[in-house]
Amino acid sequence: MSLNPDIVKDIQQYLQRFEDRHTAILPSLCLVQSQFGYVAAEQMTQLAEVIGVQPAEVEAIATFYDMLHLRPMGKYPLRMCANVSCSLLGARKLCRDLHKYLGIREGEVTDDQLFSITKVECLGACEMAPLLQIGREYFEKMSEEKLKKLVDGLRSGKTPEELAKK
Amino acid sequence: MMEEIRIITRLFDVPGIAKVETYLQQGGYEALRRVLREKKPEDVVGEVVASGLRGRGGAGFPAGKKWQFLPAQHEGPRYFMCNADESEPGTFKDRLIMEKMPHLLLEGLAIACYATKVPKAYIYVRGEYVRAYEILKEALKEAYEKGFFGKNIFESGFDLEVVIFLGAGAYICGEESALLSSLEGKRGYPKIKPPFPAVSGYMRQPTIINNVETLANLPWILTHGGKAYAAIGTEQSTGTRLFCVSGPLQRPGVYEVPMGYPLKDLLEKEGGGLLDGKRLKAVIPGGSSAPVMTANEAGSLTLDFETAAKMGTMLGSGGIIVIPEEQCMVELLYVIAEFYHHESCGQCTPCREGTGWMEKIIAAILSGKGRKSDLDLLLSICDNIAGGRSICALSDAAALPVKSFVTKFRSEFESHIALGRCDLGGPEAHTMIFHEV
Repeated sequence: MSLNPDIVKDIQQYLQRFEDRHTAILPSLCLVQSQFGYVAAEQMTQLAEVIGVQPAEVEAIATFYDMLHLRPMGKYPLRMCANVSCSLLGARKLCRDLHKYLGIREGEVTDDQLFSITKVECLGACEMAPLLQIGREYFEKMSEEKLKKLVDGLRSGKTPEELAKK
Repeated sequence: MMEEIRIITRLFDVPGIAKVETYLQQGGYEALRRVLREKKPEDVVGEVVASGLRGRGGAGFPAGKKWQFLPAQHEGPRYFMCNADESEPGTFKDRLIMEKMPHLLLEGLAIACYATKVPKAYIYVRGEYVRAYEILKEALKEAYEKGFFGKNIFESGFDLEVVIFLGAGAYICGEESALLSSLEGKRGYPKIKPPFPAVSGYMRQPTIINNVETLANLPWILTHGGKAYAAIGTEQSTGTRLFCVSGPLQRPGVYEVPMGYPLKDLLEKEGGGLLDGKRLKAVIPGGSSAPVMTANEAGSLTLDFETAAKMGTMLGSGGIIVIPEEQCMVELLYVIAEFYHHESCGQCTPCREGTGWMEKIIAAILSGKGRKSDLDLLLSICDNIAGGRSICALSDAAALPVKSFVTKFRSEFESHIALGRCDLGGPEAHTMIFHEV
């Protein structure tokens, strides 16, 4: 898994934009993740080389942020908010329902590689509670039924964008 | 009944207002143009000081005064940061501003940079706000094309470069010095203050950091004057504020009301009251770190900094969460304690260990294994992690809810300890415990 030349080009642009090359580490990790779904150890070493920093400095960043994954995730990482406002409206129970429905635990990926579930902290969209996020898409006021519909829709080949539209 | 005054949300419902053309048709960037052509930076600072505008991120520090902390003489660059890392649980107003009216933020940011004579600004958007980030990026591109950013803006000789930076999920990065660490390409660790960022911030250069909503007020203030702004709200809490109401309400959402507006009205009129059949038990008035209020106390809270302080709580980030009668308070505190433990960056021992210890004790009480001495132990931990014992205020944020929940709803905690189970609603009472404890 080597870095795609486009990514290397983007990283070189970052290096011009920021005052310090270290600032490029985080957006570079995000770029790698957007291509592979997660960041592998060897990619951190490659990134370090392109950016001109130590591999340990890249790893320090990669292990600090919740949204960076160091293991493969499902094609659709389901992010279920379990903070106060969502929990008040049943999110934690729904999250458990979701685990049961997909037959996976936190950190696992379904056999078809489609799903992983992450219980996340406040997503900053509490008016939509209980809330689930996939990438840029919000799925609001979730219920057990809506969760199943969403999962089934994604399984049938629809994209999150299509399913988010009402 | 107070007259309806909307400074920020007035045009939110205009179709296409996120686009620069629509924003211009509605008088957008006019404040910036006039400021750059007619006012000296000092005059802009003067207007903002006169407006009494206080920071909308959480601390409520006067924005104009913050700007005045910048050293008058400085060799080398200075920076401006817009803190769009809105992460306090229950808060979602900045997201709405960025999604609905990105140009309002950009215009406010440009005015602020001119006032503080800063040629380079960053907007640090939290990683979860991918959508807001994309909208803001598109808006910035449009604004650059129109010449509102870049070189010699409105032929005033003022140059401004803006970079939007996307975080990747870390509550602590909303703390301003942690935000700077993150932007410097380090782990998002808060830094010891002083020196304050205005003296030594990003890359150890003078840096001003303002919240999204704070900046979004500036076009109005510079159009109508600081005095007009100060006439809205109360003496020490001027202007309007965006409050986010969430929980089991009919109409959860963001509402702009003048400071000093009664909380009761906000929940009933704007929020539509609680969902059918639910009664109010408690309110968290300013994000999950704000001390909880009983329904009775909440009934007399007006939404201004001074009343909140007088009542022993704070408006923090403007996130108001309502808690219904049937909710077990031990369980809810567990959710909050779990959050602060998860988000403690781990630099300072009192915070790293204290937040985890508190979470464990609350989990034990919740699962029927609590001891009589646990409540005093919790209160003692609160006193020993907060109040300047750590680099940043996360430990205070973690201690305040614990202290207020245990004090105001002590009987619920005692009942859990005595009975070994929840007194509210049988075996199904707790649905929020996630892991076996």
